Amino acid sequence: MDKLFELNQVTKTYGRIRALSDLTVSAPVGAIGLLGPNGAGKTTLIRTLLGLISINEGNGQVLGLDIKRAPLKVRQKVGFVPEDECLFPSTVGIEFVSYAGELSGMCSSDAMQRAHEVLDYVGLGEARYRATDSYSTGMKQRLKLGAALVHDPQLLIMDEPTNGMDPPGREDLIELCRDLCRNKGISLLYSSHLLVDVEAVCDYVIVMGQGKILTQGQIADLKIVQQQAFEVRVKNEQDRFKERLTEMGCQIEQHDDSLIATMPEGRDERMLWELAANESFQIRHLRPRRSSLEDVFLKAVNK
Amino acid sequence: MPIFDQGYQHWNGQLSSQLWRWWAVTRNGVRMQFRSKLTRFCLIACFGPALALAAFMILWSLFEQGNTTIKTLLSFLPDDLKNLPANYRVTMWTLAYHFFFLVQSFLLMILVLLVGPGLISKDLRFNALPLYLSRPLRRWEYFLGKLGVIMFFVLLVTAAPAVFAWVLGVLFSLKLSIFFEVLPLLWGILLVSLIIAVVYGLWMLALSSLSRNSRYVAMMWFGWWLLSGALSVILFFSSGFAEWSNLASFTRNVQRVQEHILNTEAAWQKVDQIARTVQKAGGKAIGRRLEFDDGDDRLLLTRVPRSHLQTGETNIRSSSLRSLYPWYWSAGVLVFMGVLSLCILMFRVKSLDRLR
Repeated sequence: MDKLFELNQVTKTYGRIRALSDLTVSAPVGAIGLLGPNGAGKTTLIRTLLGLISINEGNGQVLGLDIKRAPLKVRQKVGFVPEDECLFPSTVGIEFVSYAGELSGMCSSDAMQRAHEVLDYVGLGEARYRATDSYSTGMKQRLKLGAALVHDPQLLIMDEPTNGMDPPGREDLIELCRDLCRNKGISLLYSSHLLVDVEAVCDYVIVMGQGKILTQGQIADLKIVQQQAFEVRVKNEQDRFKERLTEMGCQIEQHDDSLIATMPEGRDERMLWELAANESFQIRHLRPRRSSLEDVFLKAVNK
Repeated sequence: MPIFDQGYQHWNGQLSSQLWRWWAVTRNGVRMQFRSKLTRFCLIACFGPALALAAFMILWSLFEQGNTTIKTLLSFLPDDLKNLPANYRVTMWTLAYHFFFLVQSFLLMILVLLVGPGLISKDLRFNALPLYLSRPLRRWEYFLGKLGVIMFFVLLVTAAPAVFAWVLGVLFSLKLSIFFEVLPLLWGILLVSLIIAVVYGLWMLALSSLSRNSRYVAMMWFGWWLLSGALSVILFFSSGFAEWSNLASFTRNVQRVQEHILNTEAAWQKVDQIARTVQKAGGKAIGRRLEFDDGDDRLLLTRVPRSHLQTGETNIRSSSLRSLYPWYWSAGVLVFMGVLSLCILMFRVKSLDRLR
């Protein structure tokens, strides 16, 4: 199986609102990032993939299973981490996860054993007997991840998993996601507004807008090398170097401790070397600039 | 990272059939309810009438066998009953179950009040529905699982002790031949228990889905119970409404259907026959007692219509005013409540196929 999911001309409307509009998309096995502004149709796409909603037109498959005919089989093979805060009431951590396993069809002893394993894995081993409503936001996110993993899904769908988490917690969760898809063979569909997170976890990205696919592809391919722009850093006299480049017709942007220099028409990086040689600047860093995922996203959304 | 960390392991165990997926919801719900001390206490209280029923079945069986101690204790009973108790076996068993369900219907209201309110309301409050519905679980399986929790507790204090008492009755009679004689009663008991469980369960679930606060749900259940009962009484005393006033009461509707299934009417008629015999021998019906000229008075095991008592009419009827309307009116009310409950559930507990 080379495709994680595939949708053909799917349309979903809520009254007058077209949440998905004649959407055709397919994604390879691996870690897929799902990007898009609010109202782009990301959540509707996720619900469609899970077979939770009835689509008006079109058809599709997830892990080779028809989303219309076999939604339960799809959900059997997929783990879902919802965006909202949601808990099974009056449970402790271990019960929460084992109950999720039982709902997926595991017998209670298997579910309990597996719950212990996944709670250790997601880093909640010490809190397994604590009431879930006393968990912090980060712990709840990990708990939901544990519950989504308990039945060993082939695909893990995560909707804004790092929402409300502090930076260390976010880092840990991203590390877990990376481990799952790179070392454990679980595919991911990772929906987030945080492009850094998506870039850290995913190899492939789908950008949505107004219920359509705006762009999709391997992140490395989308981040094209820009021939006219360079990232450059010099020793000590960065301000004077910037000034000189501006005088020579370059467009300069400050980017952390480096400069992004866009060459004038017809010139290339040799202009930078010449300036350095003529005026004794010491170039410590020079490389062609690649567009960031943010550039890719903004370009796709504004297109 | 700790050195004993095993990391993530894949799992390839056996999954249960989709048919039994709802059972996980029920099992978890029952487990949660047993944690409540109040629920456990109420359960114990609900077993009180069950013990009384079991005791009656044993005593009646001993009475049939001519146990002298029991006969002495029950010497106040009419001669017909004392001489040929086996002829009145089904009658007495039926009435015993009738009273058992009558008492249980009251206790069940309290038990369901403790068990049911949080079943759906807490899921709504904690936003647990996406967790359920994103699993291989259909919406109706979720409802069935939740209904199963209430049904478990209701059947635990109705069907289970009733069947246990029935078995005791058969065993203590020392005659297996009575098995087929009382078998219809067993089916009746099971059917009545099932109807009570489904009707109480559906209605409680419907109420539970109406609020995110389980306390409000408990108040709704209690208030509705009181109000429907009060309305029934008001209608009873209003001229022209007396005959069908009990249709307004939830518990009375259940009881009316129960009376039909257990054939309580026939049992009362048989008791009336005894009463008539006693009357012919000079007794006079006073309330629920038979008074004789010689000052002796005996318990009258029947229900006498209020109007008959007021007029001093001697013809004792087997059925009270409350049972004059057809049983299927009550059944219709219960079916309507069931359908209404389902509609409320479908409306309140929506699938995720909507905009948030």
